[in-house]
Parts: sequence; structure tokens; C-alpha cells
Amino acid sequence: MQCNYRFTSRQGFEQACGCGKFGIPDRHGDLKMTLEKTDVERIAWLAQLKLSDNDLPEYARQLSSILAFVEQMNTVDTVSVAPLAHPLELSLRLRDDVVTEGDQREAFQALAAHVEAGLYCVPKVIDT
Amino acid sequence: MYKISLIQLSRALDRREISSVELTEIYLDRIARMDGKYNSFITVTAELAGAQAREADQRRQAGNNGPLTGIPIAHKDIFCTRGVKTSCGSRMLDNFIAPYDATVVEKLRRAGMVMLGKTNMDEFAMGSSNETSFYGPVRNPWDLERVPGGSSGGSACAVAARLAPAATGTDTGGSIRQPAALCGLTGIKPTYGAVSRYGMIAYASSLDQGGPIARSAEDTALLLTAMAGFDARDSTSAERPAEDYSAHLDDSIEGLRIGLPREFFGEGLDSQIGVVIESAVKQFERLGAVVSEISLPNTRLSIPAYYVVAPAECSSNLARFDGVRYGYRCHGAADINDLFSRSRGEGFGAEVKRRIMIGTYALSAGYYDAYYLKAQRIRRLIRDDFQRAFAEADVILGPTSPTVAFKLGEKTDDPVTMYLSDIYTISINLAGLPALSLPAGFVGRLPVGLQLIGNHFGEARLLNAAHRYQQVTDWHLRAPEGCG
Repeated sequence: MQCNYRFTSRQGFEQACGCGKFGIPDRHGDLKMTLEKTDVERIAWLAQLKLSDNDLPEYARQLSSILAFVEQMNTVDTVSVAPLAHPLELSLRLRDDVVTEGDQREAFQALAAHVEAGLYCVPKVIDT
Repeated sequence: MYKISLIQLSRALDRREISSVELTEIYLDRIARMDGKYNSFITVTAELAGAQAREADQRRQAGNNGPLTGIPIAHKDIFCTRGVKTSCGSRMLDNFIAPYDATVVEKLRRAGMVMLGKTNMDEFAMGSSNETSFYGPVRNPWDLERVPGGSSGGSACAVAARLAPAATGTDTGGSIRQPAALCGLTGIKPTYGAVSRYGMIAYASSLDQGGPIARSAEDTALLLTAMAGFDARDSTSAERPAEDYSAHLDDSIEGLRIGLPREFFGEGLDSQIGVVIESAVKQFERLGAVVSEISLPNTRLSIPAYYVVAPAECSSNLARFDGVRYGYRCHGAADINDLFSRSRGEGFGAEVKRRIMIGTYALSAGYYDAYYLKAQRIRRLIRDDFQRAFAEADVILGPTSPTVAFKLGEKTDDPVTMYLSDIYTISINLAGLPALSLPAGFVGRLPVGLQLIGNHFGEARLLNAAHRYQQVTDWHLRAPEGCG
């Protein structure tokens, strides 16, 4: 059977799933509900979180149980329901593009661990 | 003096029976003597409080004061306070001295309130028991072996133990109402957009709302009036005129239509809590309210949807903590990725990491529709349920929490079990509605909270109904042993 699931990419393009597996109308057929240690490593890398190897199995177990719980969402068909992002459905207010705050660089940089000449310092990124 | 309510304190200050300096001393002294056993404060700002109290007394002398001038308050450590450590309950911000005041802090300061300090909380407001705090758990003044609820657990504990007449809190899925319920207090989560989020450290921005925790609806209304209002610095702040939430407290509730959602009284609710709520319903009927059963059919989906929407937003909001500009920075980073990932790995606790990872996963390529969009669709179903219910009812009534305060450590091993303690509160945040919790009785010696839910911007009506109930009951006057 064909997966009839369609993604909206982050850029807003709609695309067919192409996984070749069957999925209910608004759900991908290949969703992973149980995470392995390697999945947790990948997610932690995406989230820039260094985890200790010893903790990975426990995170895998806990995240899997949360995903299994969240899976209840798929007991209802929502194909014809529009997503709701703002509870009152108001759009964000925009303001004129003018400077409204004074320069507070020194006050803000006083909070940083390592600053030199008004710059935030990090380990070398580009090799010379 | 610590025994009387905020409104009574205001009158005592008016009549010059006590000065703000004396009053502030009383509370600072109680905190110094008693908070060792509760752990409700992360930072006590004794010196600053003294200075603010002196200023308040001068304002009162000059007749330049409002009802809150000179009354002490504690702020949840999620609100930025200029020059004062603002940790959000996290190692990540243990070294963070906020360079500015949150709008809520600024407004209460302008009203003349005296800040006693910053209260303990679940790390980044992620928790329902105050056990995820980097600064250790808070104990419930009604039973020291039990949790005060969370995430505003320190605020609720401090008010219940009479270490402060009132406190600020924030509520993303129940974090004002559930601790208020578990500690026998009155607390309100306002409509999304009613209280400015500026300077309130973000967890899930489409759900977060600040609000007061106090002993009565009357006290809560006075505080909310000072806290709420349009703020240009919060792009989701509601553009509407300022409101006096105390103006309709005494109105009759004759004919008020109260709806009881059958989904809030089923499986999972402690039957003894059910009995307490039923007797409160009878009390509301005696006050003239007309009670009927309603249905919120998608309630069971609220926690699953929340645990996609909130982690997704948190994974994005908490991306700012990188060890570079402020906050915790790991030692001896080998390269830039090591700096980011170790600062975050060492700076965040386990529950925060879990939620960041769930959110990261839900938003990752190929999963976005299945998790995030799906959850947003369910969010609409939940909101629509409420809108249908509000055609039949002016106010929705139910329990705030399915259980009374549970034991420390009882739910820490299983995140999902902990999440279920917010079953009656979470849907309200997803729908952006106002809701308050007020004390309605006891199971054994532990307080039970009753929740009143209103339609958008219906706070005044909720406070009115709660106040009328508190005029004929005394649950809100009870204090934990040794605190009254």
C-alpha cells in the first residue's frame, strides 16, 4: 500500500511522503514511537545537549514513553481541522522599525563569561 | 499581622496601625526563622525590601499611594528583577543577575509593593511538584513530606506558610492553579495576553501567562488589577483598556450558569475530592447559581497535545542558552560545539533536557506535521469544545487537581505519571482561557482546590463567583499548623 501522507516542509512546500508504507490519512506510516539509544544521540546532537553515555538508555526509555503517550492524538481524525497557533487567533503586532532602546552593551556584556573589546569570545571556529 | 489578609494589611497601613517597614520586618523575620524547613525562597532581598518599605512609608506620608503601597510580595524566580539574581530554578541561570525588570515586577513596584525575594520553582517552570528545581524541592506547609505542587511551588508555599501575603506565579499548564490548590490558596491564570510576558523567562510562549497567588479572591483581584494591562513590549499583549477586577466582586451570582464538565468527574479523580467539589457546587446553588452538566469531549487529548506544543516551543525558546552571552558556561571547551553542548548538557536538569529533546524531535524534518501540526489541530478541537460549552454556561466548574498534594518522590521516576497531574488545568492554557483555583475543603488535613474557568477576558466574573463563595465559606481562612 502507498503512504498517502503529505508533508509541509519547514519552507512551506507540500511534498509527498514516499516512504511506501501505509499511513492513516493525516499520519505518516513510518513514525517511530520507540526510540533507541542512537535516536537519542541524534536528537541530543540536534538540540546541542551533551548527554553522558550512561544516561542514554534511561532517556530512550522515558522519551519513548512520552511519545507513546502523545500517540493518543492519532485516535482522532483531524484532516479537516486547521492548526491553531495562537489561542485567540490574533496576529502578532508589528511596530515601526525605529530604535527605541538605548545602548546597553556594557551592562549586557557584564553577564558574559568571556568578553574582549566588546566582543563575545568563543573557542576558535575557523582554522588559519 | 502576618495572619491577616492583604486587603486587611492595606487597611492597617491606611490607618497607620503599622508601617511598611515594620510589616516588612515581620515577614523577613518569618522567612529567616522558618524557610529553612520549606525552601520556598531562592533569594531573599532583605536590604532591598527595607529600602522599598521606607520609600513606601514616605509615599503614604505624602498621600501618594495606592492600596498596594507598602505591602510585601514575593516574586517567582522566573520574573526578571533588575540587579537581583533571576535563576528560573536552573543551574543555567544560577549566575544571572537580570539587567532589567519584567513588566509585572515593574508594575507592582510602581504600585508601591515591597519585594521580599524570589521564590523557588520547577526548573524553567517545567514540573508539577517543584522537584525539578536546581535549588532542591519545596515542602508543602500542610504536610512537610508532601509537594507544594508546581511549577510555582515556592510562591504557593511562601503564601500558605504566611512568609508573604501574596506572590506572583506563572502558568503554562497549571503552574499557578495546581500549587494554589495543593497549598489551600486562591490563584488565577488570566486570559492569554492579559498580563505582559515581557521579562518573564519564556517556556512555551503561546501558553505562558503570569498571575497572582494570594489567600482570597479579593486579594487576588486587587493584585491582578495592578499586574494586568496592555504592554507594547510584549507582542502578544492584548490591546484592551485597563480593567478594575475588584469592581464586581460583590455582585450577585443569582442566575449565574455554571457548567460541570462530565469529563472532569470521571475516572482518575480521587473520589474524596469529588465529594468536596459536589458540596461546593451545592453552595454555589444556594448562592443562586444554576448548575448543569456540560461536555468537553476532547479533554483526554489535552495532555498529549500539550506535550508536543509546549516542548516544541521550549526547544526553540531555550536555544538561546548557549554559554556565550549569559548563563552557565562549561569549563575548558575544546571547540565551539563542545562549548554549546556541554554548557547546555551541564546547565540544564533532566526534565528540561527531556522536553527540549521531545520538542526537537517533534519539530525535526519528517515529523513536524505528524506531531506539531497534529497537536495544533487538536488544540483547535479543545478550544472549540470550550466555545460550545460557553454557549450553555457562563462559568465552568470542576476540580483543579485529580489528587491532593502527593508525597515527595512519589512521581519523579515516571515523567508521564507526573504529567497526568495537570489533566484538569492544561486544556485551559491550550484554549487561552482564564481560570482560577480556590480552596473548597479538605481531604484529611490536605486542602482541595476548586477550579472556575471563564471565557476569554472573563476574569472579573470568576473573581466575583469566587468572592461570593468565600463570603459564605471559610476554607480560604484556614492556615497550616503553626502558620495561623
